[in-house]
Amino acid sequence: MNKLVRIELYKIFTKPRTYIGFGAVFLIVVAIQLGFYFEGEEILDFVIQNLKDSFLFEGKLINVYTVSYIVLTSLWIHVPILIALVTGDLIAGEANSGTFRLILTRPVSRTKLLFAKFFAGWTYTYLVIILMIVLSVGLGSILFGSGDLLILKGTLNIFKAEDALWRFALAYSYGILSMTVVASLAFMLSAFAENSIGPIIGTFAIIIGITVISTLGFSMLRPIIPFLFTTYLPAWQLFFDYELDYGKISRAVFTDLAYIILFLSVAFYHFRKKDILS
Amino acid sequence: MMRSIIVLFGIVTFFTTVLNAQRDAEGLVKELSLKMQLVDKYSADILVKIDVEFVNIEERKAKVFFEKPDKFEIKSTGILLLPKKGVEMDYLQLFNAEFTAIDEKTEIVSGKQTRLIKIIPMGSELDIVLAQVWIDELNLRIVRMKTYTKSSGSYRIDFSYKNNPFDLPAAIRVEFDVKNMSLPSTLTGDLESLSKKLDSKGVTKGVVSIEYSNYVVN
Repeated sequence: MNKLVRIELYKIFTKPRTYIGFGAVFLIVVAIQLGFYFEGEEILDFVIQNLKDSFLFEGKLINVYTVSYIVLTSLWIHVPILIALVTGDLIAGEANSGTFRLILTRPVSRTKLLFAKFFAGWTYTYLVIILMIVLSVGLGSILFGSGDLLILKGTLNIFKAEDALWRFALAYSYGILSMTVVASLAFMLSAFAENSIGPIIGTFAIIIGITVISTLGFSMLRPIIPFLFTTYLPAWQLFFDYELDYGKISRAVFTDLAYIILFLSVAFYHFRKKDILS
Repeated sequence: MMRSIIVLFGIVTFFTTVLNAQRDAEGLVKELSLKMQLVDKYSADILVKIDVEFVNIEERKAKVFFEKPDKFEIKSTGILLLPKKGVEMDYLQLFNAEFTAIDEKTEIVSGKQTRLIKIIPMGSELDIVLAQVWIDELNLRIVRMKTYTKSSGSYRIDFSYKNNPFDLPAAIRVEFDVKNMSLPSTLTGDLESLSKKLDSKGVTKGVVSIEYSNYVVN
């Protein structure tokens, strides 16, 4: 099994498209951080100008945590696309290049092969998030130093630095879980496709489509919105509520887990029955 | 004739009383101002508690530095939010400028017998347009102060004292006007709260309590 996973990881990391994800995360994080390094005071002054009419702010407003939070909010739109780029190719890519028949002549069960592929795709997802953490927190610490976390989230929430750290740890952990849902969706679509364009575009279309429809048709779709996985993609923000809403957090976690199980079950079921023609 | 003399005596007595009261009020405020001016500089540790409707922040520790006449500095390791008026002893500017003081009444505030005096600054350069000061005449301390400003609405400061040097306060409680505002969410990407607006009544009250300790004076 380990060998299978290693082979799948090797395949992922020898494809140039894998590095698009890492490159994009690197560029976006560095661009945001440099932007805040040079013009952060002006940007923040503009954002909190209403508050500055009534309050004096003392202390370091721009610091590693505040900038990392902004990086997170900017990236949650992009990361699903980067994840789908690789995970949507995991099965369909093999079908497209006509290597499945050859692979499946080996004494490896389809379930094991699929599991190895998914685990390799999940490792990529995990590494993209880890790169985000390392760049946001690592580079942010060098550029901005530590300080309290300031968040405008309907209310103004200010967390002590030591309080910010565990919130980030939980938010990133949740981020890995919600991105696993995206990876599972792309993986499922990949099981049905013969080339990787379909699952990749399909994943974007499903995520963007459901998000737009549930936002625009909010009143009409209200009863089903709590059951859509897209509702919980930005739920990492729940860890930055002043009082944690454990009910909402559990609902988000369980919905994500349910969708992961659903998508993977469909993928495994379909692939095991699939007639391999390529 | 006798009636005219009585009326005249009455008028003279009335004005003399009023003028004496005014002089007394001004004298009292000036005496208080002189007492405050004995403090050239001080530093102290502070513990700040903030109670504002749309602000969530735990209590914070910081250090304040004051130097005559109005240099005020706060050093904090974390982020600290303070009302723009009230905590930086900006009322000292009023006592140091020319003003008219009017005795209003006596009142019991925080269990202390106080004299309520209205202070109106003479010039127009100050931000403060009117102040009401409740003075504990016996100990020559300000117990409460309500200030009306041109730029930041009004604020009220309640002072409490222990045995600090020069009667510097042990704690203050500043109640101030906060304009209700819609906090921007675009930078943070908080789409859920984009449409959330805070109460649109216009102005609400915010409260900041500060406890002072470890004074080092002059």
